[in-house]
Amino acid sequence: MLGTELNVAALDAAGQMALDEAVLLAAPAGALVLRVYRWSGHACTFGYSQPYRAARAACDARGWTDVEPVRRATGGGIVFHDGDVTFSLVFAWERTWAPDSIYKNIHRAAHLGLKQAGAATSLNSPPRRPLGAAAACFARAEPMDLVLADGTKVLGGALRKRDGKGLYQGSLRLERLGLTPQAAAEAVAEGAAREFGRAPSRELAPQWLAAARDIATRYRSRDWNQRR
Amino acid sequence: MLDPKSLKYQKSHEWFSADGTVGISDHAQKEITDVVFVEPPKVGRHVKRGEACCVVESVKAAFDIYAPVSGEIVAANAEAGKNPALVNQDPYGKGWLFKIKASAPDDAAALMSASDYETFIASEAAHGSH
Repeated sequence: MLGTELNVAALDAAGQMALDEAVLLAAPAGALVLRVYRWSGHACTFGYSQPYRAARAACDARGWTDVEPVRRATGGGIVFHDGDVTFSLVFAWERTWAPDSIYKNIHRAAHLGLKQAGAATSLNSPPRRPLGAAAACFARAEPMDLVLADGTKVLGGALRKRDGKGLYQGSLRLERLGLTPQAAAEAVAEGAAREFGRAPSRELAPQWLAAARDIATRYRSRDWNQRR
Repeated sequence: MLDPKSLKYQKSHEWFSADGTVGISDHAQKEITDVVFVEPPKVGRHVKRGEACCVVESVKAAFDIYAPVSGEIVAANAEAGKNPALVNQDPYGKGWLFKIKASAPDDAAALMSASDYETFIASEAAHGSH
């Protein structure tokens, strides 16, 4: 019998990253799996290529001296998980490599779901900027991030392509959306169903959970988090 | 710069030259758009054909790069690590990623020719965006 995400204990950053990777590695080809995180406390994650010292300094500047930032498998910037709705989507990503179109599709899904729930957002389309993203995810809106009418970024995310599958990890800020975390999570699920033409699975196989416990060891390690 | 027509390719869009050099195709670099990070494999590592051994990242997405053949990594492009834009600017030249000393000569024979790769790309495009 499959477990659902509601049966999964609240996890720290290493546990969440490991579970996403376990789903990415083990989900069957063609699967569409949505996971909305339950956090066990404040957490900070940072992009695969980012230097650890930047994430460490950002945590310290925020007063999060006891929070150990965890390197993600996905790209993107530093994210503080303190009241956001964090979610991941594992999906088929076979033919094209083009991340822009994938990112747009997923954020359009969230846009549609949020609109249905009464929260107005739009896909950001700024003029071309110099190469590179801001170190902190929410420091500025990148193309296809979800923004409010005044340009405030409310959804940012990042991707990893492995074999024929993709992992998206996103952070939705609720402060100005007027939605509860549960309503926002349901809006994302509803939007994904509309955008992808089928409801995403929210069930987690027991073997994925078991694999995640092993993978989490890496995400807690200095070798992984401080590799650069 | 190598002649793309002289290279072998795999479906995950890596090219492989007769001297064991590996990079990603022009088609792939255009799809990724701006490459901002390259993590080549460590020299001396032994890899199996199809094993993820290198990472290329654009602004929002990280991509695994797969070994086209089994063997030992004998060189990694430190310049591409310092200047990832080389992957976009010169994918068949200065933007190479690593070199493999193949341990199984038959592996290369299983890769696609340039013309087969062109056909493959066209069929992918015909099947849609994902």
